[in-house]
Amino acid sequence: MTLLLIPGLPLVSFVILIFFGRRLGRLSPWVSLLALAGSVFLSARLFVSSLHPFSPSAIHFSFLWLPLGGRPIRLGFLADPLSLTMCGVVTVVGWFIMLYSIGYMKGDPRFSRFFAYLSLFFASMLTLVLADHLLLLYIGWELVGLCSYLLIGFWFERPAAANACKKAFITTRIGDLGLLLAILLIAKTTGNLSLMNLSETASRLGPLAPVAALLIFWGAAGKSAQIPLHVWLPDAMEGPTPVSALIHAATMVAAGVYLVARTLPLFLPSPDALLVVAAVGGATSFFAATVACAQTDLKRILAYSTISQLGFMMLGLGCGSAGAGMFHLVTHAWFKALLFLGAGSVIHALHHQEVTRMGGLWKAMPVTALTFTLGAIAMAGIPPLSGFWSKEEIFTAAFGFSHPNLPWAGQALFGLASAVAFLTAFYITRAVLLTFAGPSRDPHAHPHESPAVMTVPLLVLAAGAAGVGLVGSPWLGQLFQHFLGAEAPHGARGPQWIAACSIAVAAAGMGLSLLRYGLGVRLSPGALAPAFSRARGFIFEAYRVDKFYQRVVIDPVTRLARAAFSFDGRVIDGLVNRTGQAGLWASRVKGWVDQTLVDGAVNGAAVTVGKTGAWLRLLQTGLVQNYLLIAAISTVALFLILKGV
Amino acid sequence: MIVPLPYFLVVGAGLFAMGLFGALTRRNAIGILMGIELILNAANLNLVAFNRAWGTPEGTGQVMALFVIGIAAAAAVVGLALILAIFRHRQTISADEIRLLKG
Repeated sequence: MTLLLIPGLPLVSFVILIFFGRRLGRLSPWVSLLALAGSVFLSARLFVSSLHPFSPSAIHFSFLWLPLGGRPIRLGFLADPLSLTMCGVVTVVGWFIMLYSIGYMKGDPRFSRFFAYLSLFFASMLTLVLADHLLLLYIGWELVGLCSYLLIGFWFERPAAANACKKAFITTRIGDLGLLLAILLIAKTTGNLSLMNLSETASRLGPLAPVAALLIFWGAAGKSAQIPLHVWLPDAMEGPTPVSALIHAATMVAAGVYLVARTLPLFLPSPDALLVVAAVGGATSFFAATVACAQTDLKRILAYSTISQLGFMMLGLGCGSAGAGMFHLVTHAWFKALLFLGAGSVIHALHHQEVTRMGGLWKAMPVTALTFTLGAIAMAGIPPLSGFWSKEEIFTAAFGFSHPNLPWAGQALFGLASAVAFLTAFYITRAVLLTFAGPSRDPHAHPHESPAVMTVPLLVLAAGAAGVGLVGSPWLGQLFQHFLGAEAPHGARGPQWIAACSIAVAAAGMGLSLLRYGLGVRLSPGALAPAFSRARGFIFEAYRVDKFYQRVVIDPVTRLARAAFSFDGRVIDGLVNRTGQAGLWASRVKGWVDQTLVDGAVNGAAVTVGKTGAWLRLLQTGLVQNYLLIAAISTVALFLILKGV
Repeated sequence: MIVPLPYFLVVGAGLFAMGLFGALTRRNAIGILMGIELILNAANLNLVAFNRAWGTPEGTGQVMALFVIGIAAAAAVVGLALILAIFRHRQTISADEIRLLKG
């Protein structure tokens, strides 16, 4: 029952806010904060009790939903280490982001509506995370998609936001199709959609297991913005910044990673499926990291960085290590939420997002600058901050990856991961330097530090971004990986040089960025400048994937729609009009028949009756004595007739 | 001396004829009612006479005659009341002038 309350409390808050939000006004965030605090508390209690060595490892609660004949569908919630980890991240990080939103959304005309949507998002996300059943997971999955749509388009007066939310919804729908197909395939083949004992399900699926796994990955790719469905996430930055932090960085986009981690037993039997996950994750990661290096919009830098980091998690999962992927998910949630909220604080102060017009904010916004830098260092992967530990896990997993036919796959993935780590350190340092360091590039800016309701969450998240990695570090004996317990993390540790290499690439990326953006050293020779700027433009437009989709997918679909529309207008409408005219003629004929034949018969009957009546009324003189006479004569006549005269 | 049955019948027929004639020819509505009373009494006379001539069971005709008298009284009440009502509305009780039922 406690499990039911974790998503239930935010749902109650959503219902309250959607109906009474206008009346509650400025009090509305406290309703949702209180409800979510309840969820935090309950998750924490479950978390603590699951740490207890003698308690059952998973708490399960289910109820009958649809008594469908011989195959009743039960819905239920499952709290095992994996879902409790997600639960903790979602509720705790989410709580602080919500607190921050009070400051950020202050004065918005739909203030309480915003918190209603956030509450609905938490209810859906926690349902997704705690579901014990693919069907319930899918329900939560679609609901978070809906919330994402509502929140990206929260300022729907702006055409860019309206377009972005449509794009996000449609793109993720394409991914959802994959998940739906996977669910149908598993239901048809095994009839068991439970998320427990998935390895048994995998063995019952037999040769279909990789197919189901890849379909699930297709769905996860849509939600987690992996190539080729990554295009929606940068545009999703049109939403309010707390939404970007919560949904499009820390939690919802991580749902794809969570799904793959959850269903990893379906992937494990097939090295090919794993390789696809790792390759797509790695390619996405590298691609997005390069794009992030060229962006000038602070939120878009972070958006591409999110895509890149999600790809990184997928890379870790594809190497067969749920621990590595999930660990990076947790640390990423903290430092990326921190970075987004820091960016939000900057945007709140300056009212624009262009890093080229920023600079010199270090003095004006010390708390924001400090926490943002801390988040950046954590993401770059400098020990002992959190990003280092989780990246190192992924490096180790990548290095240990082995494919029967491709012996070099592990090394290739390791190389890719190193390149991504280098680029990550480079672009995030660039963002920090352009935003906070040096002189101000905008003389009209009057930046100011944000109010305490915004800086306190920043400080808390900064503490988390710094410290949360320790739970998975070897200093604490890789507590986190043991807690997940899915696999023994490669028996011993990877070679020591992996950690050294990880630090080296991060330091190299940061150093190069410092050289270029901090000290202003021109790194490219002048002769190559035109070529560089062309390449830069190409990368800046994210390799023109959007234009490619526009030409290859959207334009043909639009043309098809237009063709269908004109077909509709000419053929279908013509057919309908002809049918209508035929009906008109038929009814005219019927009208004639009606008026001539039917009315004639009716009128004839009426006339006959009328005539007879007129004739008979002559008998009715109204004189009582006439009647008496008729009666007397009739009696005599009757008498005579009866006598037979 | 026993009066034979045909005598009664002749008197009854005479009464009936007078009653019918009165009912058919009188213009006054009260006269018509009186004619009808004569017809009823002719019937009563016949009932009593037939009972007396053929006997069994004893008194049947008399009982019927008594019923007829009672009903005739009731009918006269209703009829006279109707005539009164008509007179109040139309200031006349002449049967020629009352032809509301003319079709």
